[in-house]
Amino acid sequence: MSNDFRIDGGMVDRNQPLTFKFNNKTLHGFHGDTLASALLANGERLVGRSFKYHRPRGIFSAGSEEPNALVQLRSGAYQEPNTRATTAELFDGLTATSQNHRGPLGFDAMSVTDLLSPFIGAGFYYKTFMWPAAFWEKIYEPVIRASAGLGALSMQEDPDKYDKGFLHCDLLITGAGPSGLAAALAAGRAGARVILADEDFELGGRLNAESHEIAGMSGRDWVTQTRIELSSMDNVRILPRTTVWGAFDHGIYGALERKTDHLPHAGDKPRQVLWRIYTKRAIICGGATERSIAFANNDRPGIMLAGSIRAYANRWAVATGKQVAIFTNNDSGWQTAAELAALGVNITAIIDPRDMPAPMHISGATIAMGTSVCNTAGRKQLHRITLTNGQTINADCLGVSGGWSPNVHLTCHQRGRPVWNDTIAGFVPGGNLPVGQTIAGASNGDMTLSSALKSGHKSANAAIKSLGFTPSRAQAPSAADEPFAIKQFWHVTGHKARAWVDLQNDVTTKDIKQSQAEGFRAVEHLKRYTTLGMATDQGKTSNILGLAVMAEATGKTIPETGTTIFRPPYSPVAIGAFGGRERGQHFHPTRLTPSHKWATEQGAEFVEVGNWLRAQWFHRAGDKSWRDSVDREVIKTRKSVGVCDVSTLGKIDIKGADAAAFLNKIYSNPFAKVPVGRVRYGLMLREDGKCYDDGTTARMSENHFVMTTTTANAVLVYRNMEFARQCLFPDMDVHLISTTDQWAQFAVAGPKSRDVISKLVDDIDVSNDGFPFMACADVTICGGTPARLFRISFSGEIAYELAVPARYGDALIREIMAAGAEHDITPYGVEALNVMRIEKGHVTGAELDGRITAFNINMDGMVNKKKDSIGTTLSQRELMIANNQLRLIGIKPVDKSDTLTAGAHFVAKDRQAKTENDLGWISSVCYSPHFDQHIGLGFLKRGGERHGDIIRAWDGVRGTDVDVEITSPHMFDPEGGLQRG
Amino acid sequence: MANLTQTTPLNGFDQPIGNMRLREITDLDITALAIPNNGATKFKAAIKSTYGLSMPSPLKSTADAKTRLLMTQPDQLFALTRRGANTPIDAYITDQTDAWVLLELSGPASRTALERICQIDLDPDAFQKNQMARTTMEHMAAIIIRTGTDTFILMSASSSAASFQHAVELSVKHVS
Repeated sequence: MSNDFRIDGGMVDRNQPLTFKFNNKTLHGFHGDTLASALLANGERLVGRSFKYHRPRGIFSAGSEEPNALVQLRSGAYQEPNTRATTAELFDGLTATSQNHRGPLGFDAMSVTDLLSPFIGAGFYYKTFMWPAAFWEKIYEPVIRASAGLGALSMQEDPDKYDKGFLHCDLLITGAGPSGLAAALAAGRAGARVILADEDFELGGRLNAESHEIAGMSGRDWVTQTRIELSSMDNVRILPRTTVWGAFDHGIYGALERKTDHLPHAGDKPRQVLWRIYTKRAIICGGATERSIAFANNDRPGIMLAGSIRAYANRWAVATGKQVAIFTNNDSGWQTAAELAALGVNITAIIDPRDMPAPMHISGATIAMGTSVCNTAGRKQLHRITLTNGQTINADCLGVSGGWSPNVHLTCHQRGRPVWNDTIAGFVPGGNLPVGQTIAGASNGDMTLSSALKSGHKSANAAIKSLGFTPSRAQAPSAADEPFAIKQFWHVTGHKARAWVDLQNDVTTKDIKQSQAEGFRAVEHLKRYTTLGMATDQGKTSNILGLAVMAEATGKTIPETGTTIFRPPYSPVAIGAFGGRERGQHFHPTRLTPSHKWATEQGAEFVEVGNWLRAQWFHRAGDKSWRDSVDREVIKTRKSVGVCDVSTLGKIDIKGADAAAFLNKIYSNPFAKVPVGRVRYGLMLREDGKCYDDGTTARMSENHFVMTTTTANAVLVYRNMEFARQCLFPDMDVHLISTTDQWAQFAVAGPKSRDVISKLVDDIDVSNDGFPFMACADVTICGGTPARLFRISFSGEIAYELAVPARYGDALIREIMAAGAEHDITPYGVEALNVMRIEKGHVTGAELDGRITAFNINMDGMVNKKKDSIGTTLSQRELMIANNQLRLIGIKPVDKSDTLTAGAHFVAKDRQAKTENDLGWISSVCYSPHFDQHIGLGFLKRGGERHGDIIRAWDGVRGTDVDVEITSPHMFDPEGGLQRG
Repeated sequence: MANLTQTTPLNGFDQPIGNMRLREITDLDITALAIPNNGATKFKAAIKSTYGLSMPSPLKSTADAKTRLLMTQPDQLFALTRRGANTPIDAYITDQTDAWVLLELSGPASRTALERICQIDLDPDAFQKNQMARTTMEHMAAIIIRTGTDTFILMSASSSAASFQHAVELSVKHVS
């Protein structure tokens, strides 16, 4: 079978034949086909199985509203499930498979569920799978998921690429049908920057599906002429294959452009681009979607929307049947009959429930006015319909039109609630629309061609005029208004068989009535109870019909019943598109230290610290584990000298006549009188009096300080200081600038550190007298390279920190290693750094976790009450400084072979490990090679008074319970003699 | 002892891609000049006499063959000068040369490429020559300056230079 259903005309390019496969069957189509039109041209009627009952289903529509024809496109890792055949552009070599069936499509074993339908109506699983509870996850859910579902994922990583981007315009027009094109012409001619986006690969919208005339030419020619004119305008950007899927705050719209989905291979380019479009104004020209009428067995393959049948014939040159019947409550269905008949398609009958004379005569067709279709026959392919007058008519295709519903989706994204319009029997946009948004064409209820063209033209002129543009004098394109009359007729009663409302979710009129009977009458409840309007089509063809059936069941009008509203996206967007290019290591930026290359050469293992990669330890021959490396680095540093890249610490240069006064406000301890050439440790409090960061700040000159912050808090501290500068102390002459990336900084620590430093600096006395503990200076090193030298220590050893502009960082680490060679200098990573600071009792983010006060870390004496600094007042609240509060302590296991775990809680020896007995927790632990055992820091109630006590460190998560001795947190060199040199 | 050797964040990366060219700029010094409180008039005059350029208005830059001035915030200006040029001026001065990586993107499709990472409207009427903006690209703080019809300077933190280069280069490759 090959293109037996292809007729003359259409927009497909017969000079470009294409070959594709559906369920491994080789078929043929043409360039310009969708997968759906090509399948129909090949006579493929059965294309899938329904969601719940596994009923045979065929193609129902010709656009993104399609509920039935969901297929898996492509294969292997590229496989994409739940793709609408009606929007998939045909390309040579396309492969597609049907989904949601067990066994072949024609003999789905799961179709047995259709026989069980009396037992599995709406809400059945809420009532049925109640017990036993243990069955929920292990039996019920897997079974339900396996039997009801859509396509399958490949379970492989998606090899396609995706990207994001940002666009800007004066006017965004969504939809390139008649109103959208008229709007684009008006705005483009006036010089406004226009983006015209349409989900289709051809511009024109319904004009491609109709035989209208505009401005004295065929609608299709007018589209071509308009496209040429718009393409010639630099100020107009046309985005075909682009779905505007969301309207967000401040005139921002989300759009998905399918860049390569229509190509056999994407190459190395992104498959799709997710655009964020910044607009000043937007006009929604989204058209309208046809809906069905509910009658018994109205879901058979071959039963389609009448307007779609017209589209397949006019645009794709496909007759959807050999004997086509039409069931319509409005004039649009008659238009289908007339146009198909003119194209030579056999129209067998037109059934119209309206009691009126037939609008036209169709040769050879049975005309049944005041009549409805009440049943159909043909399991995998429609072959007969039965009318309410008892007549049966042979038909392999039935076009149904229950009227057209304006596409109001994008008007609802900010809670705009549509309002009912009786004339068109549909909801039109209402309530608060997104800022800058107007609606034109059928989306606004302008259902006929002339009115759509005029409303697009008028809306665009109004929008650009409000932006200061002068609209052109051109009039809206002229066209006739086609007949559009409708009777509100929703479903055919009087037959016991099921009548489908929502084809995608297998929701029937019976389900809606059951929902009503069981009290789920509000539209939002109806949706959740029955699943009406859910899933990939979001009820585009079913929502209004469902509401109407509910209204009938409750005896209310449709406006009284109300409507659900829509959330983004308008149509499905692949998760990959939301992820864009931010995958794997590109999920966030990576910051590298100036010594990264050198550290890599030295066998460093790296650890992520925020966005930074820091050397964690340096592996050496003979190291059997990371612990060996860390122990070695600690021991060698404490015995001789070690070097560590500390460039990641935040660095902020503070300058200005009021810099000292400003720091006096920022830090809780005094800074106004720090001498030039000296460094002071500082503690910062939040406004609520809790600690948020600590660090050292050096006074390089009278009006110049250099602050260091913890790595993790660098941005937070800078931000808070900027807030203080701009908002709290705007009159101070103080200026901040981050210099974190400007400087490469290395800590050189250990008894031999002075020897190493003295080899590097030019003509400066680094002796204890010449450059004492907490000294700082601008110096030069290595024969003139500018540098900063600080005598500060985090390890507790005599130590220096040497900083050079980052460009010299790689060279400097190599020079430091050379200068320290005679002392067997060791590079050390953040693990060794952490061990040494715990031994020394220095706090980090593990201690300053946002809950901790200066009192808790034994630094209450650093909160100077004689000056006003941020947080001082609230830090003195009674409960924050009461004696029974937590104090920082050190701990050692009583049994030296025991290990400690951070997060363990302290409990008295004779008490149970319960919340009411909780005394505090361990914040940091390490194995200390110096003490040859685990040690830790933690917080303990009245901890300062309990040095020497034995308590338990209980860890319920890891299942440990260790007796520990409480010590001073300053376990290593508590007097500080070493660091003072 | 010899002076230390220097590196640049991207080791002088320079690559043609399609009809574009992406390269690291390595011959500029960046000096941050903070304007003392109540010293704006004097500062403006000093700028004129030092650089021969008028002070740019916020989010604009002024430039000649030797110098480009960026008004980065109300009381702060960046001077981009030829490497090693002396910039004596009465202000709070901070060297920022090593804090930034500078990329230059040029070529007919450069604006199209930047659409993929830059939120700023780069339409020639909306973002004119010598206009600058502080923004973010791929979660990285960035400064963008239009130096020509199809030429842009992009500045971002030097520590994440490799990530920034990847982000820009990928954008270029995606449209070339």
